[in-house]
Amino acid sequence: MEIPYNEELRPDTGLYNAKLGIWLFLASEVMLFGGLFSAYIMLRLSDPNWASYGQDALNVPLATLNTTVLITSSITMVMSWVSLKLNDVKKYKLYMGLTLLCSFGFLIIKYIEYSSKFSHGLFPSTNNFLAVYFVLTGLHMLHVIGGIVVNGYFFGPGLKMWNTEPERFTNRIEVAGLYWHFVDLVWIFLFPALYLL
Amino acid sequence: MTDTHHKESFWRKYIFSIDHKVIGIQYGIMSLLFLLLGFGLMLVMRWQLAYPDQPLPLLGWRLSPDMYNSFGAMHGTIMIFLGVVPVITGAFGNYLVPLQVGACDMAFPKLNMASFWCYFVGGIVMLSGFLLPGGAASSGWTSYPPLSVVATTGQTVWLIGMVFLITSSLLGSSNIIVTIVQLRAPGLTWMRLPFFIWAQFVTAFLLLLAFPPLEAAAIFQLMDRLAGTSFFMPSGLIVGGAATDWAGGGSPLLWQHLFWFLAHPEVYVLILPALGTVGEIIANNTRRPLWGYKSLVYSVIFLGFMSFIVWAHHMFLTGMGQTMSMFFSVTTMIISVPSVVILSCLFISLWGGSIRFNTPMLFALSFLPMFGLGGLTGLPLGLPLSDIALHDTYYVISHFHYVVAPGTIFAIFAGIYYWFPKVTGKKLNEVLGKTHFLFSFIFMNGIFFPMLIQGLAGVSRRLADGGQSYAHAQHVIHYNEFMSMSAWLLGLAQLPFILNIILTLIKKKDKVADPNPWNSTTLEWACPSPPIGHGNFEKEPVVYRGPYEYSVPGHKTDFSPQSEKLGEK
Amino acid sequence: MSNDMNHHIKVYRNVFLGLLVLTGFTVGASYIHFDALWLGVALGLAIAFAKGYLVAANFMHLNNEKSFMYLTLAISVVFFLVLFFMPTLWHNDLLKSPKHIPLQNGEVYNDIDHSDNHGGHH
Repeated sequence: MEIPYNEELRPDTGLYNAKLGIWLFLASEVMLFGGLFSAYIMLRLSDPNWASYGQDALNVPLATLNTTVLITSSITMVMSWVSLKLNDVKKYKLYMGLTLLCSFGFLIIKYIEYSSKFSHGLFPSTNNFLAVYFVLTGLHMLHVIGGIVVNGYFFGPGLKMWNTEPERFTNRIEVAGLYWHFVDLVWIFLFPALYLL
Repeated sequence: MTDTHHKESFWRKYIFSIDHKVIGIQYGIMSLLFLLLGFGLMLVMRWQLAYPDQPLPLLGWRLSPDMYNSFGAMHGTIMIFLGVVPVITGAFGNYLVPLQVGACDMAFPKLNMASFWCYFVGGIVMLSGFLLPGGAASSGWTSYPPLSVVATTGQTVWLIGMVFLITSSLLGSSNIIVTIVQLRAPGLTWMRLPFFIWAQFVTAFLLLLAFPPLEAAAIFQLMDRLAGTSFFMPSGLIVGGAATDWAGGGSPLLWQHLFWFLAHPEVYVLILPALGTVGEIIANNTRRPLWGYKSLVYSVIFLGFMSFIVWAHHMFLTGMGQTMSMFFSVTTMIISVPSVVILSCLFISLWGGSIRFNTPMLFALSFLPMFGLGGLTGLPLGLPLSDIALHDTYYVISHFHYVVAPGTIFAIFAGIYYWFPKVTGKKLNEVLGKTHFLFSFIFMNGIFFPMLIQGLAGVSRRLADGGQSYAHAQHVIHYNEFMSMSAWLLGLAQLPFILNIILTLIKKKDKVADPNPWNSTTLEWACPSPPIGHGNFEKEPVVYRGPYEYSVPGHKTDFSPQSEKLGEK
Repeated sequence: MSNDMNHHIKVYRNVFLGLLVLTGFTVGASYIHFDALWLGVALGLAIAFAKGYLVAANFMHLNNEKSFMYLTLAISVVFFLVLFFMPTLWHNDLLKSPKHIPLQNGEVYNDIDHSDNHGGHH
């Protein structure tokens, strides 16, 4: 038994299964972050003490650096897919490796940020701004870790599918890329919402 | 197709199976057991309501008010999240959606397996609360903070279990959508889909988009409980006479918004597939097409959409302001329109049909007035003015139980009787089935109708003594004993059902069993019963016609299966 | 095929540069002091949406996708907005009581919102 439309497109919808699947997953992720942002707005609007919670104490230069790192990982991710389209596995490995490197870099910078907060005695329980900050960035970080697991698999053991079903493997990278760009997209909104506004 | 029959290990075949049929059956068994457990909790609670503070017969212990709360919270949680939804989307959805669209399996078989095991783990984690000091979660199935944040550890496992269940339904629902969109058999266009598939399709979207905000809320509440944040904790909170450690500044209403943003669509998750099931059975047993197929489809889509913007009608009592109240009562009135359209279509479908009164049809027929009663009692709750009087009374309990218990659960029974021959190749016994139906119908109403009367008299819900200490409850309090008797008899009325399943399963299969015993037209009956191995159909089905071509003039039988070529007669 | 891809690569590079520039704008804009808070928020969000558009349209190929996908995403965006604006609805009750309600004893009930009592328009 073979499930149809795993690699080829279904003529009337123009899609392969995994692509539709990942977009549905991303739609639900939109709702997840919708809930998180909604909570942020509601807490901020209803709390008269919000201004005293030290939002401007966040490290903007470090976060800007992190934004750049994540945007870079997005372009390398899309380039790794392009390389597969051009049948160039070597370049694919290069770009995928860079993507992984950037994602680890993001985590390290995040670690520096978190630990400096903790060392100043700033915890999620301190006030609601920090609670929002830690939960939103923490959940985003979990998504980054999830992306590292997936991309790491395709960088290492998952690559052997390229030899047997190159078309399907390219699709997998496209799907992994969609997820990764979404993680980037979330950060694009988190960054100004938490650090700047 | 030879590779479908190769030998699989026991574990792969029955436990960690990736075959949608096995997963559907796993879902079915687990969720029916959970339904029984949730029902059992209620039977104990009914003793406490009928005879407050008297020791339970046989067991000998008293149900303390704390345990009553815990049983109540777990009854709701188990029934909704572990019972009804998994039966109707997990079991029915998994087993029937691929068959009805003519697919060999779900689009992502491994994710499907993961979905079941997330559900399994989530259920076990939630139940483990009963073993913890302080007992299982006791803040209601709605888990309103701040009460739930200061509650015992049972609430923490409730939240962790909930995260697993959300993951499970996410995997399951995206799978169902992709299967319906991508794996439809050739010729099965959108407007040839059975109504059941449409209902599952919309339901899957509801699960997909409504659950994530609750996941966010569950994470917030976990943080409040474990990391001491105050997302839901207001400033200056005093518990048990002492100030609390929370920094404050949070909003308990935020939880209610995020919770009901899920939980209202969840109501439609409970009811839409039930409507789909009933639609299939009514078309089959009246031997005529469903009346107004297109309006049914558009109504279901509209219903699904509207269900996302009515959630705050659960919150009129919170004083959220007139703008919000007005907006949400208007949308609530609007959403009743498509519900009425669907119910009317199903009623009109009966008109002039030569109805076969078999067990599935009896359950489906009784679903209509029961769901109607549940829906109509909901109207006063959709208007802020009457809701304020009724909201905290037994009226609400009666209202939503009429929707879900004699509503959805009757549809589930109908579905089980109807599709049992598909799953096993053997029909359930009609005499036992009709006995089961008759007594279930009587006792169901025996439980829930008096609640309407009590509720209109103003008896509060959630009281461990059933309202005994209130003067205004005195003239209706005696119904408690009657309702409890009905509940226990309803329990007895399930014995024929259980017996029926066991007896039928051990019965030898007929050698010449008809793969299509109900003479149905939809695709799931175009493959052998039970369907062959992993792959279902002997050859890929092709669809030539709409789903409900019954009694077509000039056709030699009174049904024209979807996969039958146009010229054939 | 490869020509097509070369074009893609060019687009991706431009998008990447655009994103970097816009990130600079966001950070820069946050140092400008606006008289009204909403102006700063609106500007910040506008830049974020521009960046989001660049990523979604190009990296995620949304500028050339199938209609079913647009439909799915449109639904989730609608519900996302519902979630998003729910809190603002909640805090700005549009149906305030009318400002001048004559009371029985001839007094005029002036304002329901006591925060405005200290006079003046702001």
